Amino acid sequence: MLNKIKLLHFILIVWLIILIFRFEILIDTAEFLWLSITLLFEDYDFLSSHLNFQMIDSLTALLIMLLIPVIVLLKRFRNKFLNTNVSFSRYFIVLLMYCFFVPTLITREHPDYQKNNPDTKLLHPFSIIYQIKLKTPGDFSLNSNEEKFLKIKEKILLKEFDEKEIFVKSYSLNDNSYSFSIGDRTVRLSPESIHSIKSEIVFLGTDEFGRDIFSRLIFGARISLFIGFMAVTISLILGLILGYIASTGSAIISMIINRLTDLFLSFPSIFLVILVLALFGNNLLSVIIVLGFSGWMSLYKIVSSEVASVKQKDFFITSQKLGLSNSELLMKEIIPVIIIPVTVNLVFQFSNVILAESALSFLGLGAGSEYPSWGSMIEKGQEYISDAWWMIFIPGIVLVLTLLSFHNIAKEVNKFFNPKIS
Amino acid sequence: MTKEYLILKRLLSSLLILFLVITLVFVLIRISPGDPTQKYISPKLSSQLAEEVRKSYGLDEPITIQYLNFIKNIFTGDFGISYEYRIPVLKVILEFLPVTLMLAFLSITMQLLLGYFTALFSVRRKNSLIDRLIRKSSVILYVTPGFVLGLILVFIFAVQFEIFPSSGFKSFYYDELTFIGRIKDIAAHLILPLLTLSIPGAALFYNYFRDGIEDVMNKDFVLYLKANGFSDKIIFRKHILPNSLKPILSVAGIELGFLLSGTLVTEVIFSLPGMGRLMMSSILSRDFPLVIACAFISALFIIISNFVFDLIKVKIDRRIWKEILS
Amino acid sequence: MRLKFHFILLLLLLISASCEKEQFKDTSRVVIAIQSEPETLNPIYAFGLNEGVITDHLFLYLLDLKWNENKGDVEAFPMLAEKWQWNSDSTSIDIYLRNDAKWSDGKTVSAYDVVYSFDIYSDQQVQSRFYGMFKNFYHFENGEVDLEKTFAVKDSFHLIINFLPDKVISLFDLAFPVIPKHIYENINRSEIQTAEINFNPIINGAYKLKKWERNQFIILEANRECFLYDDEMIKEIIFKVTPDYNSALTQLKKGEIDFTEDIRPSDAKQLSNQKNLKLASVKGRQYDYVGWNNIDGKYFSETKKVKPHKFFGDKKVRQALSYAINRKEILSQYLLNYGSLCNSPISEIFVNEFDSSLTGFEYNPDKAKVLLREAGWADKNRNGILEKGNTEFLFTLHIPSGNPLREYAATVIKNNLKQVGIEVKVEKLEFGVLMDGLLNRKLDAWILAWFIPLPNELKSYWYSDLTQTQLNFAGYQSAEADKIILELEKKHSKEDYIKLMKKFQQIISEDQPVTFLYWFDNIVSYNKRIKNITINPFGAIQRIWEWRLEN
Repeated sequence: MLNKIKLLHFILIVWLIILIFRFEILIDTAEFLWLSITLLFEDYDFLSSHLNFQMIDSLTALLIMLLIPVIVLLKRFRNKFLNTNVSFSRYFIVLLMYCFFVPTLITREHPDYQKNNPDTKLLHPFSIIYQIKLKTPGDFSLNSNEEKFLKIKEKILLKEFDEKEIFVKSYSLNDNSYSFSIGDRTVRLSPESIHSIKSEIVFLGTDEFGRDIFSRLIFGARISLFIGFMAVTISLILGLILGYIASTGSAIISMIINRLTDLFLSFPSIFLVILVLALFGNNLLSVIIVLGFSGWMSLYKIVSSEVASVKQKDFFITSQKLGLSNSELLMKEIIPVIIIPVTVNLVFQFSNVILAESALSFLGLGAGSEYPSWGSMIEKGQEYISDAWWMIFIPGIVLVLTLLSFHNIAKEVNKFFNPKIS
Repeated sequence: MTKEYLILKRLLSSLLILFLVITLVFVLIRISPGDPTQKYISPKLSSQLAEEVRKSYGLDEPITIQYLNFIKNIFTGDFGISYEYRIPVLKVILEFLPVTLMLAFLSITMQLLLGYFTALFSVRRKNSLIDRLIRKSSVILYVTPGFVLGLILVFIFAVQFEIFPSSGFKSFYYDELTFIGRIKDIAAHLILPLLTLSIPGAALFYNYFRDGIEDVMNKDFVLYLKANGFSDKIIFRKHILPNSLKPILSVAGIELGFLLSGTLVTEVIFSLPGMGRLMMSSILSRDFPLVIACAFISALFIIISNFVFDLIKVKIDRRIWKEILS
Repeated sequence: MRLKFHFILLLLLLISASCEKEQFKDTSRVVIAIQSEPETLNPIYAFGLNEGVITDHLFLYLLDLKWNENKGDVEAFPMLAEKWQWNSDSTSIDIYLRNDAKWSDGKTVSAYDVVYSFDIYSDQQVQSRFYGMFKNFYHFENGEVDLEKTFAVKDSFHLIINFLPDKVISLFDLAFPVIPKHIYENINRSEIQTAEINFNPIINGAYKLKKWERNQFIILEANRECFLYDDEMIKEIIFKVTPDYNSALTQLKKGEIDFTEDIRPSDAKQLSNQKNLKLASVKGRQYDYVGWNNIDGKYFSETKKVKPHKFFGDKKVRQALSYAINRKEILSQYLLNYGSLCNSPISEIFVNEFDSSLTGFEYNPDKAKVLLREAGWADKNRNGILEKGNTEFLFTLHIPSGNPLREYAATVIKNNLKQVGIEVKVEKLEFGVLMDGLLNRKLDAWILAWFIPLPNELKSYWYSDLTQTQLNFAGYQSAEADKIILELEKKHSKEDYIKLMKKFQQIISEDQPVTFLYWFDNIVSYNKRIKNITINPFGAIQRIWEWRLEN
């Protein structure tokens, strides 16, 4: 039974689960999209002043949710990949992909939401807290599209903070008023001022600022994967270009590039990375660039040696004689040959970059200082190691599983292309 | 092409690389924001002091002249004086190096031994439950990042059970201990960092050893030897082991190089005074001479350890001379 | 296999060895955790706080300065100087040294050592941490003290120090450790920095160096030759380098460490329940503030001229920002009231000068909105962000990385400002990069702390001539404040001085060049077996020679 589930089914199951749980949000987002489109024509200035990353993120999440079944079903018969059996690694990578594309649908709490109550700090997994929502003076008249737009925007975007929400560990109702404690002071509220009280399970606990660890994990996955993709792309481009130049250019250029490669190889790359990040500051962009620049050497070696060997081969010499131009030679003869080892290398690189980024964040030098990142979560966990084991174990396990999955995938890719090597 | 010529060639290219490394670091560090004299700016100190200090470091001169002076000093073996520690940088490094050397060599030994023995153990019980278990867990251990593993070990052994101390290298009462007590003291401090450093590597070597041994065992010549009545032990010692060792040695070379150039994450977790932390703190405090010297030393280690392991490989198989040394 | 057997044996041995711990408890030693390794034990170069603490126990001062909490000022007691006598207009002082103070190599501490110390400290070549601080002495252009005019040595134990007539002289002008002349005069002055003697110092203090293991620990041992010595004194002080806060805390609880500074407020509560520990805090020495760049930094660095900043150049905007920030929340929720609200840079430890009538800017978002509207900021397109013309009110708030308090505060401030329609992006910077940005006035807003020096100092933070005062990061410009700062450099009666200080506090609070957040305590925890500890604004670790151990 279980091994009949194909990758395709798994993707659809996850899709369905999200759909059921977030149906309301998706409908709202659809309405929001519609309003945005109408406003685009009615009041462009208004819309453009509201445009930000979060909004685009929610809208694309909707589009992706619409596209997933279409893509999966359309390509069903053509794509071998989607019909393969699932292993643990693939399950996990599918989940990571969902985290990457639609994090706002998986979790509804902003990863940086710092709850305004010291009691909600360092809660262990599966603890229960109550969210008390205060009444807001409702002054929305909902007449124009603008008003509706603002109202829905409020609803679908994850809020970084809301003054009208109070989180407490317990509350009591006596003498017709609600009382609860915030830190060491007790607050009493009359029922009139309270909009609603609902209980929430803190699925994976909270961190030292009362932020939700589950949300941070999900958004951390996004950052890790993003950095991985971008850095690998940079490495790939650098490796390809330098490798091509070295193998086709003059002897002097090739010697210079070879020395450069040796230089980078004999220099502990972590040292170089730390040097650059510590000296020039660590933001997302610099982390990507630095990691990209420290990983091109193996790609270069593959490309230059493969190209050099291809150049000796008969088919290459023949096509050269036939008068194919350099770019045609590259496209038709060289790329097909090098694509296999390069792909295998890319997957390994990808998991290396994720590892390196989390190690840097752990040292306080990664992207973790701006965004939630697994490495920085673990670093914070170290400070609270005796009080909050979940702050280390949860992101740690997720990181290990991610690395493991990519490692296994790389091995599978390798096997797929070179079946002889076991 | 003689052996000597090849070695000389490799030596020269290594020197060139070292030179390039320090130049690169020099350039990076000079164009970065931040200034080593920043710590002299405070309301308690006079503002003239920072100026004086800058002058005495030679930082007020144009960068080209600074570079020329620097190169001149390097050739006389003078890496300068650390801004932070106020002693020659090589002396600073000498105080931090022993910990790193000890960790690196102990760890590589431990990795190889652990890897080798578990591989043997596992090959003998091929496809048994325990073999499969070891194989699966070796992959997981291999991909586990040092900082996750280290913190888990700290959590278990230092926080929960309080068996081992979680930081430092020696106790302050070290000098008053007996000889055995001293060994115990250091061992207790080092066991967790060593495990953190060694387990992923051991898992890697396990796989190499296992694959290598299995591979060679299936080769024709082994079957031939067996058929000729050589004992299993002799076949294993004389033939299987050396033949399976080659890929392991090149991996070990790389591994040792990285261990020697500083085991930063482990040092940070366990507050050990090693090269990694020295490097990091010198970068953060903009201690220019020390940063360059650290870069130099770690590049040197990487080059040397690769070279040494290449030589060992040659000792095992003389055919690969040219391939390695070119 | 035999090898395997040996290996396992070795492993077992190691594990068993580490399991049984040797009980090591010498009653006459105390372990103090310090965060980072001291780089030098030479008082000339003891720039860091830890270094200062350690060298203060190795080298004696002329006078023993103690903090008097009731007066909010220092008082002098005899140390190397047995007695002293100011002349009538307090421009010169007669100092009589005690004759039983000895260097650790047996030589007597004499008046020549004192003169030599001032000579070395003020020397340009030496680059000591006191260089340029002798403005009240007769000095040359390059800052060196004019020895002939300043000092008159009557005999080995009696000297006279003459000060410049028109300066305000305080006891701090004599608060320098005395260093041995007979050692340093043999060393070339430019080579003192790197001299071997720094690692094996010749001292005259209550303690001497026993062992220094790099990045591990420093052991000090009671100096029997010192006149401060008595049998009750703690025999060994171990400064243990423990960069990891968490392990320091664990060791404190286990009793392996006796004294730790900089405890997090969230841990303080838990520690107060521990039977073997005691809590104390150093109050009023450090405050956090949100810095607003009052001037256009880019324009200034290009032209050296002052132009108001597009957001924070306006006093009303700064006041509005201060109204909008809920300082109390940070104080009560993160600091758990280990601190107090800060309304001006004058701490309440200066009991006389402190203006307690100042109430500061209490959290009031509505008032903030009104002020912002008055300053011309309004949200016309209703996207939640205020704008003036085409400029939207959004900026980046920079904080140093690795400081949880400021991380927390930054998030609270970001959320608070969002309520009044100001969008803030928080960015963490490595400290070196942050300082670079501040010194070159590249940053718009930041959160930092000021550690207030003793004696109090205002000019370097708040004087408006920005070429002179690098530390005026905010670029505060106020003619009124300048006048008071200059006036304070002159001699005044105590009443006038207090009046001026109070006036200054009112001006700066009104102007809000920065938003003063809160004073935060340095929380200290120590083992109850230590008695007679002095903890006051002067510092947490001081006068260890007075500490006693319970029997």
